[in-house]
Amino acid sequence: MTTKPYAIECVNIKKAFGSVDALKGVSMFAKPGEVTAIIGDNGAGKSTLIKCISGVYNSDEGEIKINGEVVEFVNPEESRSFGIETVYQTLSLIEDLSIWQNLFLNREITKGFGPFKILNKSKMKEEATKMLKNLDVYIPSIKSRTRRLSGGQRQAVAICRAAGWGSSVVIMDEPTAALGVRETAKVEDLIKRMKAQGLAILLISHNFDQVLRLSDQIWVMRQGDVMAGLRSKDTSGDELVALITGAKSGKG
Amino acid sequence: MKLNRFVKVALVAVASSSLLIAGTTTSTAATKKLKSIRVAAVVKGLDNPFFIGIKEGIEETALKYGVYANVQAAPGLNDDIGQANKLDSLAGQNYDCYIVIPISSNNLSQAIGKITKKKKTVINIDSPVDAASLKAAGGKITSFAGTDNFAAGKAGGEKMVAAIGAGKKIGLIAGLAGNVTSAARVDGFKAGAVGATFVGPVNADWDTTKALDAANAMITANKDLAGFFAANDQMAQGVGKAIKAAGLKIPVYGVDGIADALNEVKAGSITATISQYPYVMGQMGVEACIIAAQGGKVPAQTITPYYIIDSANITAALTNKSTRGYFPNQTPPGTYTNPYTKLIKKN
Amino acid sequence: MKKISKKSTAPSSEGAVDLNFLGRVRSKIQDPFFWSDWLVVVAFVFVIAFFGAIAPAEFLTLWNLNNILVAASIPAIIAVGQTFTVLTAGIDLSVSSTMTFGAVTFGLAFTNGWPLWQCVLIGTIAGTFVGLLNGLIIAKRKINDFIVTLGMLSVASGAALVLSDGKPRQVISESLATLAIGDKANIPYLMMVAFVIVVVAHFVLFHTRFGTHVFAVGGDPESARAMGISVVKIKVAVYVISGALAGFAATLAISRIGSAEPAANTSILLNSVAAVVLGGVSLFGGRGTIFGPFIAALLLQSLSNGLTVIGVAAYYQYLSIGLVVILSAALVRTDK
Repeated sequence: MTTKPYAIECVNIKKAFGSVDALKGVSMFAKPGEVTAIIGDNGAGKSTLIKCISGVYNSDEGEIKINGEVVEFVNPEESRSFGIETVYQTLSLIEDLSIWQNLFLNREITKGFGPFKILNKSKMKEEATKMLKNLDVYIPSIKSRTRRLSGGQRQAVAICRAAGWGSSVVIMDEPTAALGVRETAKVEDLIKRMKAQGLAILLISHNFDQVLRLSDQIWVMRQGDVMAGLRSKDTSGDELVALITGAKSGKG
Repeated sequence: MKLNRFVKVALVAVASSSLLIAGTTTSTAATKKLKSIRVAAVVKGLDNPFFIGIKEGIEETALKYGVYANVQAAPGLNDDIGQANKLDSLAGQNYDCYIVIPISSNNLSQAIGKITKKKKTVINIDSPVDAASLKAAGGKITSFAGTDNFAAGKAGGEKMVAAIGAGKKIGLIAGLAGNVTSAARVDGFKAGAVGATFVGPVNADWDTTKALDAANAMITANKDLAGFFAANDQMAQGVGKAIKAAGLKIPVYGVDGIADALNEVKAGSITATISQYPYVMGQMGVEACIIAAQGGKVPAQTITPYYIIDSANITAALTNKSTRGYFPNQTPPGTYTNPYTKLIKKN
Repeated sequence: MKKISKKSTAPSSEGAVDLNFLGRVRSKIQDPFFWSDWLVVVAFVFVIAFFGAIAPAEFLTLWNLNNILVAASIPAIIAVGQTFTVLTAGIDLSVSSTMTFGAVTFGLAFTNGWPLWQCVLIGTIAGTFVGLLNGLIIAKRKINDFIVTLGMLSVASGAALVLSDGKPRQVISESLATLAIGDKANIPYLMMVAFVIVVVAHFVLFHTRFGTHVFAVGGDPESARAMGISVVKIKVAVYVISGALAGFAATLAISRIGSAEPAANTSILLNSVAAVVLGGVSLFGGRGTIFGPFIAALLLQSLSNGLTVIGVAAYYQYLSIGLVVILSAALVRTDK
């Protein structure tokens, strides 16, 4: 276990916006085949940290390691090329494109060559069916417009897209915030299946029950700093609340 | 009333289609009864009173002789292709004769070529169709009736110099850039106004407000302006307002003779309008069609009259109205005889 | 686990797998998108049937149907270009003067004795250049498309007047005349040219990565950007397409009227926007077809032709064509 490198590791990440220190030297890691949760109050720095990892922001200081190697990226495209995929809370699918088109957006499979490349639609539909099946997601027809899907179905498609591209780290920002109880359960099942396939999952959530249910490792953030890193099985909701509010200090 | 007309048209269409089936396809070597003559006209956009005057001339003359006339206009300002489409649509129908006013000198040539192939008559009024493009398209025009815009402008120039004296400065307001009619009128005016110096011409796109702004600018820059010439009445109206606002008392001449301009001549805000007679052009178009349908010899070209209307003859001009009266100054004063009228056989 | 999810994720009406044919038809008919796509076809058939019933001997002749196809060819090409800009939730208001600008460059080249194919090329390049300017300003400087192309409407028509010195250039050419009035099997050459462009555009839109990205950028630019699609590139490309097609259409316009006219024909713009809306392309972007606007261009010309043929007075024609556009737009938009 100790010899196996972390899927992603952040060392002393700092990021300031003008005079505001959003991240004051954050260090954390996520292991493959685990769900790693990041929790904290609003403004604790969770989103900033995620955006540094997904390449939306560039950190001022510190380094990011993937599978033990230090990497640098300046935009989401480059971050994605290292196998880091993000499922956004709002930005996700194009409503008027079909499900298979969304799954293959900007990674379309083509045939032919040069300027005469044409879309290989049957291949993409076939692969799309496989991608969904692989994670046991059931959608009536991959040809229907995304607009016709329920919120849970959309989230499932977005997650499949993130997981389906040989990625090693999938970041999820409040993946169930807009969903009902039953759909939330389905997405949680989906996350468990991804974990079983060896992906490292970074989960941001305000829902402590969900965090305790799903995660293996929890990082608690407060005021741009990591307060504590805990194994989920060793902690409780009360302890998390105490850490978040500052009633209990995780450090030293 | 328009609905009635629509119904009538539908009936005529049905009736004529049965005629077609009966076998009368091509027209008219022999004399045709007036009632059976069908005329189609495609004029320019109806956003200019001048062309409404022509339309009135066509429709009222048709009514007078009992011939059928269908007047269509270009779907929009400058829509040269749309106008060609209109003529194309009409060319397939059973009309004896087509009256055309092209938006540009070339745009209707091909459509006319198609009509000529069907051995139908085409009469061109107002703006001439270019001879070279017509020849290339295999088209033939039986008769042209239109104004000499250069001569009209020239008469205006002569009259203004006579009124203000030689060696004065005159402001010129032209229509759309590149428009042939505008250029002919302005060039004619310059040729007539011997010894004068000119400011402009500035293009005001046939538009009253633009002419007002242009005249304002010219007055500000040239305190010694002694008169204005605008290439149409709508622009002359704008110039008249600018002159009044500047507190000047200098003459402005327009061209066309539209109703508003005549009223302003009466009121004194426009000095004179070189009146052309669109109603007469429309009339000549229909009459030329009738002559051709009756197998008569149509004059190849007729220059329609122009007349300078100012305070001296405005009262007579205003009472000389067409039936619908959109264009009050229907026919020229005095004893003008239309060369087509006498060639028509009454049957 | 799998079994449970199957049962509860599939909403009953969308169990598309085992729907029978009738059921599929019914679900299609109840889908508003189906109607926005097919309304134009229904309207077109209706217009043809209407005029065909009123004036069969005039309207339904080969001669007249030929006229309609000729008349619709240029509007169809411009509408294809407009469709691309509207699909990205943009609009190109400069098409009419872009075409005029292309025509003027064509005319200049022709009077200077250039061979015909070079004249066609220079006209198309001129239009492409205007489109490129539109696209760069809209996408790079992030200025509203409406404002930029409205400005370009004036800039391009001004440039056309300057270049031509306001004078029309006569273009008399045997080949162009043949193009304008010739036909094969009763299909006019002009319509064949337009139809080839329609088919190519359809192919680009539905069978290339670029086409998919046009839909994505129009549907949700932020999500498209998040997936790594360059919104700027796509936006520039659609205006280039619109400009290039307008520049190319100048050739057809010249072939029809026998000269390169320096004054812009604004009906071209109105017609193209009307055809795009009638053709079921969403003005909010991201949804539409090429064949829809194409049929709409045919529909509009049939309407105009039919009203002329049955002798409806000019004033009433403006009224009825405008009403048809607004009415159909209202019908298509019920889903929003």
